[in-house]
Amino acid sequence: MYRLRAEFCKGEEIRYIGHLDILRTLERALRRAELPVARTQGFNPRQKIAFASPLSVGITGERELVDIEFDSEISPDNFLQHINSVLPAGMRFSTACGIAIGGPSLMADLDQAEYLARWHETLIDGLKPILELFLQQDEIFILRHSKKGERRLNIRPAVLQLKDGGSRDGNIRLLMRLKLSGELTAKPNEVMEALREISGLKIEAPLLTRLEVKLSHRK
Amino acid sequence: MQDKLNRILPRVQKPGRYTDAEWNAGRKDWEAVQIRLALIYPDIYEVGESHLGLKILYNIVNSRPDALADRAYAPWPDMEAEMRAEGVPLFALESRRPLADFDLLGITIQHELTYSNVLTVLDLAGMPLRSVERGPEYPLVLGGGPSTYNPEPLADFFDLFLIGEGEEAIGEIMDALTEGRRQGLDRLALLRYLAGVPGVYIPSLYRVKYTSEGTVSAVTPEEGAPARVLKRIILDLDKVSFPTTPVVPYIEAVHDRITLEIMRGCSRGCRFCHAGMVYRPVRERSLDTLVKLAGQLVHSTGYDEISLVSLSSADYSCIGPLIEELRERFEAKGINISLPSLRIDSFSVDLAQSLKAVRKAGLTFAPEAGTQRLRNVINKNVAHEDMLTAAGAAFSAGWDLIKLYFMIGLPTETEEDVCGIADVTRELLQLGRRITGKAVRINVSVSSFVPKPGTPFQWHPQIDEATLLARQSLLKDFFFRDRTLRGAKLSWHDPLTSMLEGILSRGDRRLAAVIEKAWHLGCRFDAWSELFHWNLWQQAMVECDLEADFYRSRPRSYDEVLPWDHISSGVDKPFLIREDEAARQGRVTEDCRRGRCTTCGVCPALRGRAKLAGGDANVPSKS
Repeated sequence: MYRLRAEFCKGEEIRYIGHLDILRTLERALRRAELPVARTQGFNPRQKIAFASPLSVGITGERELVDIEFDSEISPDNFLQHINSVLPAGMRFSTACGIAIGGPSLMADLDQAEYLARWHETLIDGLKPILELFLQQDEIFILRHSKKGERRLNIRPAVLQLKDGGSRDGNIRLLMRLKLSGELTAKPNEVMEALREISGLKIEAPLLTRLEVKLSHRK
Repeated sequence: MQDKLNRILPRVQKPGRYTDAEWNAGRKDWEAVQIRLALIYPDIYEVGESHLGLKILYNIVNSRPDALADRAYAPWPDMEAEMRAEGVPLFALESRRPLADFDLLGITIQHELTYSNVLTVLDLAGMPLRSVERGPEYPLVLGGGPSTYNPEPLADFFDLFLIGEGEEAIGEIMDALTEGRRQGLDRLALLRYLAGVPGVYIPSLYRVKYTSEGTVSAVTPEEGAPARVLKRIILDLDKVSFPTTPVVPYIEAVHDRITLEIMRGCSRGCRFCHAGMVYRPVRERSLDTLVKLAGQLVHSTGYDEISLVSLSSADYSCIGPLIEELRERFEAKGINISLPSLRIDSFSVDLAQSLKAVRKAGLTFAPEAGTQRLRNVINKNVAHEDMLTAAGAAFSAGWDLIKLYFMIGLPTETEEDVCGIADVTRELLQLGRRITGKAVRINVSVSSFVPKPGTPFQWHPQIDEATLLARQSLLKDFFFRDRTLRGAKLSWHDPLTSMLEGILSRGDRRLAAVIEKAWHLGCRFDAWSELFHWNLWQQAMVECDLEADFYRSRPRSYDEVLPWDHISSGVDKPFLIREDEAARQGRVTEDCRRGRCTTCGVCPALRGRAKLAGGDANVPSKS
């Protein structure tokens, strides 16, 4: 058995494609590449693929992480070359490296992520005063919808950083660092919603990108 | 436009429907070609991307250096509303060009419940709905698919139809269009020129007259247009291109697998079955071709399932060897083989048992009618004992769930036949318990019969709404109250959509006004029960001063001129009449693959014959 940890991007072309569809696309690409991907046992064998964190419909990703297990050793270069030649537009792997079998999963090591939001809006004083207003709050409650229903949650502790990314081409750019694991997490759309409420800005149809997924440092 | 879409898409359901850039998508250079075709399925992406016919044409047109084919689908009503609000016209997926920029729009008409969506497509493309209102600045609108064997209700909206199989004809149509334009022909002259392509029907070149009773008295072609348009077919499927690099959608399509077409046509001769009549004769692909295609498709798509599709795949003459060969090559790679439909015999059960995908999905049988008498009427050649043997084989092989398909409202049906559905189900439940030693489950699915043009039942009245609902509740009573039917689950197709199908399927040109009115009243996606509004269709009929019963529930005589008589599938009318007479007497007709030639007329009309992979079938005899 052999395990690769690889980094890929979910590009603009497939912004509106959801996580399960990305998974299925990768499974099919791996079959097209005829790589020796390991499969689970049982009546419904699945390829052994594990993502760090699902990316929602509407959000692109620049450096997403995935672990793939193989039955035999495959060099990272070989993997990259084969997989990139059979991926549809919008998905591309940039790096890969072998990691220990049996080590912690990506999901277990997941810690935080960096996002970029950009949208059309004219602000005389820039984004800074609004971000300060946001960060001054001790508690920011949002409604989180899940299969189990609606929950009212304080996302403020999970918002690690908000930064004015400066405007470009008439677009306001906001950088966010959010906690993705543990008791308290925050989603970029929730931050945008809270920002609308606090600032009174319209923030119409912001385009979101996850710039990087960060793992916790283990000793 | 992308800015507008980025504003719209976060607000609509499943925005992945409007994404292109899928694996194997073409994206040809717009400027580098002379002629551009948009292939359109008038339903959502997930349905349209599952349709093999358009994939075949997409592949053929895109392999021409001078042409491109792009794809478009009907937007779901939420998207339609957003597009109208933002002023975004309906566009093709790959080029992102408005449909009005194309030379030709090819719309497939698979069934009557997509007619209202055709109007959405035309209107959202910014085009006048009716052919006569469209000037030379608009693309020509071409219709094809099974419902065009009676194109009349849609005639006013289309410039031309292609009757039958499109593999060869699509190129001829594009060539004629290019040539006609080179000659500088105006729109009418261009249509006259296109009428010279065999299989092409230009509705505006035909004048329809009606009798005082409202039936058609005559359909007169303008000089130069054929009096009868005969369908096109491909005689040898081994010699025609099959798409080996189909688009693989990002989002989950309805049929999310390789669809390998193993044969076309079916000669079983079920008298209710439109496809069984109009797709004749049977033509099988050879074993060698299929194995080669399967290998290419597995390699180019990465799908993990190959579905062997046709009207009746277990009838393919080499089905056993084909499955064996495919399993040997692909099963170790984790690729499953599946069959979409099974006939009712123990051979099918043996086949199913060897197929993992079928083991998972469950077994489906279609006896269609509850009594032997009625099965003889519809020529569904399944004996009661066959059913018991097949179900018994399935239970012995370990299945504890089987699915049964039935229809109600068939010609000559009585309450006794409806009760027969409950009787058969009960008998199979008991059989299952006896064989497996525990309770088995049977899912019974019941749809309502719609008489279709071009079939032996085209002269029959459709059952009236009250009787249909009464028979439905009779059946419901059995399944919900009768303790001996515990373990059986009954499900329905909406009986009211079959009322609409009943009007449209045997309609004439006057129904264009009804379709347009219903569409203006808001009818969309009639095949989706949550969006089907029977009351609006009824209102449209009333406002257009037309009677639903005239189309639906009136017996027609053999000598009535039918609105679709000038469109021919090659199966001739005397055969349909003989079959209808046989039905009325409860006589069955053999399958020409096994028994005698039934002299249906299709082989001589098309200068072809049934072609089987395992050796040819009967030579057609002279009728």
